[in-house]
Amino acid sequence: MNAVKQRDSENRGDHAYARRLSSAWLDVFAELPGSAAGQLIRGRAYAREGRVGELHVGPGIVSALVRADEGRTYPVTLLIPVLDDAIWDRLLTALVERVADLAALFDGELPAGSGEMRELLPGTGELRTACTCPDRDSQPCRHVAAACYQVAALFDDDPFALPLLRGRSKARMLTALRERRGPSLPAPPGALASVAYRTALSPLPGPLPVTDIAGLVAPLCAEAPADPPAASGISAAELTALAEGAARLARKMLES
Amino acid sequence: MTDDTINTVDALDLCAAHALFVLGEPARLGRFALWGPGIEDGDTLEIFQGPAARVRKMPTPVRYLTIEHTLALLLAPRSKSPSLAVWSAAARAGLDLIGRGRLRPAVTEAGYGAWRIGPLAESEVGHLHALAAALPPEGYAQAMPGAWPAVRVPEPATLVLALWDALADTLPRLAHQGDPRPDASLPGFVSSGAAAPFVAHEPVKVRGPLGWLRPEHHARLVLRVVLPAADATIPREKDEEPPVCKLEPWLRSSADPSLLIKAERVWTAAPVVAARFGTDPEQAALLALRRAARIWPPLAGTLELAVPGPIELPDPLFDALLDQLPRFSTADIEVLIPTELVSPPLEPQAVAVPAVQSVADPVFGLDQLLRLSWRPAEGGEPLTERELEQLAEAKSSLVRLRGRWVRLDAATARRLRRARGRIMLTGAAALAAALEDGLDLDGEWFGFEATGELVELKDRLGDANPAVAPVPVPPALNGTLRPYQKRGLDWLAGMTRLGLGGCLADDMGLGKTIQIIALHLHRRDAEESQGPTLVVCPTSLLGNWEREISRFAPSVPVRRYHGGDRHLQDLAPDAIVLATYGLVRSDAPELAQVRWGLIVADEAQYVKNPYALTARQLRTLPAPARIALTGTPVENRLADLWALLDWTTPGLLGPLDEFHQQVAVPVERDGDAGAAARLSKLTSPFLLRRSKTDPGIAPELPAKTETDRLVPLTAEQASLYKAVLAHNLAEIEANPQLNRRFLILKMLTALKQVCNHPAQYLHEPGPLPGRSGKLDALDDLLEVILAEGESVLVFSQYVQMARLIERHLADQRIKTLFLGGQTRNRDEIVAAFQAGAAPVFLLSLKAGGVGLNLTRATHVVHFDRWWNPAVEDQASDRAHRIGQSRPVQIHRLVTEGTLEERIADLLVSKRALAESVIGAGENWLTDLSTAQLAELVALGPRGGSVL
Repeated sequence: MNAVKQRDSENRGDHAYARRLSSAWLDVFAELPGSAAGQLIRGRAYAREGRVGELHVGPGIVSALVRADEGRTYPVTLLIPVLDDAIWDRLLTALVERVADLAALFDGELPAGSGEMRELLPGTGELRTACTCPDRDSQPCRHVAAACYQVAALFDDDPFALPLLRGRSKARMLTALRERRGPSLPAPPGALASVAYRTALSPLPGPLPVTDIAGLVAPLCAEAPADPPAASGISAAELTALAEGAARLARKMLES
Repeated sequence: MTDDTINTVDALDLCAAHALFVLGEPARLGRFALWGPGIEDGDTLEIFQGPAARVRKMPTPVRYLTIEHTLALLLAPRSKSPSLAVWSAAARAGLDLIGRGRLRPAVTEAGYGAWRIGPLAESEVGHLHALAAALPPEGYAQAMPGAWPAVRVPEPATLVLALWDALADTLPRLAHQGDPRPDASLPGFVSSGAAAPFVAHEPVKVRGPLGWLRPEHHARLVLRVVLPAADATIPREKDEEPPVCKLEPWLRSSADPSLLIKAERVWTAAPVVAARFGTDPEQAALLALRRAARIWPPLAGTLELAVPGPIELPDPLFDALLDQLPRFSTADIEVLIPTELVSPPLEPQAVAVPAVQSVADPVFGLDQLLRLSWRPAEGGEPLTERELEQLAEAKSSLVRLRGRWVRLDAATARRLRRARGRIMLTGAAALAAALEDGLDLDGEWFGFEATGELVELKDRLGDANPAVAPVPVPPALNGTLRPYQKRGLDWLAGMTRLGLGGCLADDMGLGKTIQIIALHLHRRDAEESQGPTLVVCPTSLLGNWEREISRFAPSVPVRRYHGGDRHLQDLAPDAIVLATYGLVRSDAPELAQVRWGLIVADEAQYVKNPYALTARQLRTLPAPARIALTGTPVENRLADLWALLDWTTPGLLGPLDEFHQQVAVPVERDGDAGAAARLSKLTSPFLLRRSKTDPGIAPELPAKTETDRLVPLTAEQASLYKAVLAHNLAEIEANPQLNRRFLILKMLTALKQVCNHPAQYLHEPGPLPGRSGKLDALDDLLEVILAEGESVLVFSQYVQMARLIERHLADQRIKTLFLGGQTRNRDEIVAAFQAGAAPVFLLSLKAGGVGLNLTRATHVVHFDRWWNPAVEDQASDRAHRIGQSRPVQIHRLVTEGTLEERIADLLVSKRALAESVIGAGENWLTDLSTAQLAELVALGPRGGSVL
């Protein structure tokens, strides 16, 4: 069960025009017909108290189990239509043109400027909610609200949950983007031999700069070179001993 | 090592083989392939060989050496192979790192255990790249296999890192093999086979989980500032775009520090390369750029295109970037800036070359014109007019100069504009600039480099104790120079030979006169002088000069340019002409007609006001060499210093108002140490000053120096003297026997009083100034003595005269103490003097009796003389006695052409008989015959007149 992290508007940084996906998502939810302030507040509290569990996001659907006051648990479902291929086409084209938009998405922000990216978010009428709780009259109920807040928190941690919700996984998106950038040859390794013979040589540098005094005096290894897990069968002490032996030998070689 | 290998190593070591490093898997199996002349057989490797114009791939015979076998070779190579030298340095660096414990267990792609070097600090990564940049292609140009047209070779940085990894992988195993320590100290070591992959020689796969062996790869953002292309032009028109730098985003791999790629390549790199930047390199790159843009908003421009790209850096942005560097550093973002952009800006440095190439006149002239040119402070050819213009008119701060980019900040551009207009410099100004190591142009300070003769001149003048070429003591000098006087002569000779002039400012009593006389003789003998020497001095010193010249250089003709019948005709070429300041003022045109070889201004503080007529007239007298003499410490009063040096070396210190503003005010009012230091550098070659208290000088000085100052009578005194003489001689004639003694003494007394001061003879209280030569001379003396801060005793036979002097000094606000025969509280007054209550102590000769300790005084003035040497000496000894550690100078004022002068001569000859014959009083005079007496008291020049 994840507790919702608090996100304040100050966290938006310098991009005053950009909005976090989580905030935009919550706005959509707040505009649902029938959503009342009271239920929203209770839902947020539920989410912060960690009452939302088993949150699963898939194309078109979010499901969660919300633990209510009385000890009962209600399954909540959120349904959003998946975007069709034509819209995805436009979205991907927009993302390819300006890498800042992709960068914003990586950062959990709604890319500014381009209108297409707004299509990622559902319109007001597109979000349908369902909950088995007895609160028939005040829908969306607090449990639905809680689930929505938890989804918002998820978007902060993993922004690509939103495209997934709309029909494309992260891997598929990135591959598609790469393909759209055009066939590209991976840059070959190494350097051109002709260039190698034409590059001017720099003079040989002096001795290695000293960065830490501690490294020059005993103990030779201030900390163990690695921290092997128990399952490996090797102890940190063994590694340290080996490293220290190497260090001693190296120093002896340099002195002679 | 097998014998064969040892032989191979030795044999190879001696020839200039190339060493190429070949990767191995795992790292410790990397090897060195030695190839080149002398290696004919063995294995074959495809290597690209030069020369650069024709690089081609050739199957090359190589000898392989493993790391272990190469280590000895690497640590002490004896061959001259450049590639081996770099590999040797790389090996040392690698061992250094291992010696500091920088190694980590890791796992290879194939699953074998291996050690790797790490973690590396940023400077160590820089060192890696520096080694790679020094590696010649023969050290790494192995042909890489691949599907590409096979013309590629590995990156040198990759190989250096591989060598380090190879060493890291080898050493723990070597160390363990030869480790004599008992295994009991290492828990579980013997039995743990799990550590085998990291201990054994042969490759062993790691069993168990591998995650802990794979370091987290991530990408570090590197912002690189890139200079514009070499062919970008400087804009001529106003709306042309100036060339700007660009800022490019790059990424560095944390796991593989040798790997650095442009951020945009992350999208197109091969998966194996992209993997070095983490699991999600695009995400890492974009998030890093967004983070950077939050620190510095202009970076958002890198994300405007389809892939991260560069942004332009016009000047204001570049400056803003520099301000952000600390914040980037905190955020772990590296910024790389080419050295051209952060190295010091172009510093123009002035260089002066002679404007007209004149072979005929090699002597440096102060008013000779020099051409000023400019060159970059780092060195190189002088900037041409065109280049200066280009730089001064540059619209942007990035300018192309001689094939490289140079950044000009506003200050440098302003200096270049100022430098552009200046073309000419006088010799004096250039000399000043050379001595001060700098040139001030309109308030901007420029470095100055001396060339040619100026360098020699500067070297000669430069040191505080210049290694002046000693000159021989003139044989015609009738006297001995003390060591410091000889040094003074050397200095004077050097300065005058160079045509530079100078100021000799030794303390009074150190013998400036004899040094000048020696100089005159030297210049005559060395044929450096072109004519007679003119000595300008106060009237009271004319006689002194004449006497000293006759004494020390009797062969030199002396002429006194003085009196109604003065003339300058028929001057001998080696004559010395004495003139007063007053005559310089009135007769300057006549004096200027003579072609002087040397002009000396004695007591030059007389002309310290450069606007006074005397000073101006003095400046009209041309001479190749000018020496100023003064006893006052001129360095304390900069205006006086300027006046003196401006006469001896015109142009050295620049115009007076500039000097006042740029030097005098900062030094005197503001206490600017820098300005004071520069002034000292500039003036010290031209000023020689020794003090009585100098350690080398004081022991050489006699404890007691006596000088006669011959002083002329004023007109009033002369006529009084003649009248008194006539009247009294007549009386003596008329009374041959009766009261003869009394009458003689009466006449002598009267004449003495006339010689002292008419007011004393006439029993008047005043007026005092201007009526007595002696009083004038006393004023001159006191000026110098008091300026040096010393104390003086003034003796007179007559209490009335002492009182007159007291009044005269009080009128000048000079504090005095008085001790007459009647004074009561002697001890108090003496104590006050010894404590420094007043610098001048007036005593009547009688009062200066026994029991007085007046050792504070270092000068004694005998205003008039008691013609008995013993009494006089006793008075002088008031100052010079046991307890006095400093030399004392005794001045005797003697009126010229009078009885005082002649009796003084007589006393000198009779001094030997003084104690026995003369007795205690002056009565011996009365035993002279009338004729002898008449001769003694006559008014007029002594026998043996001068030219």
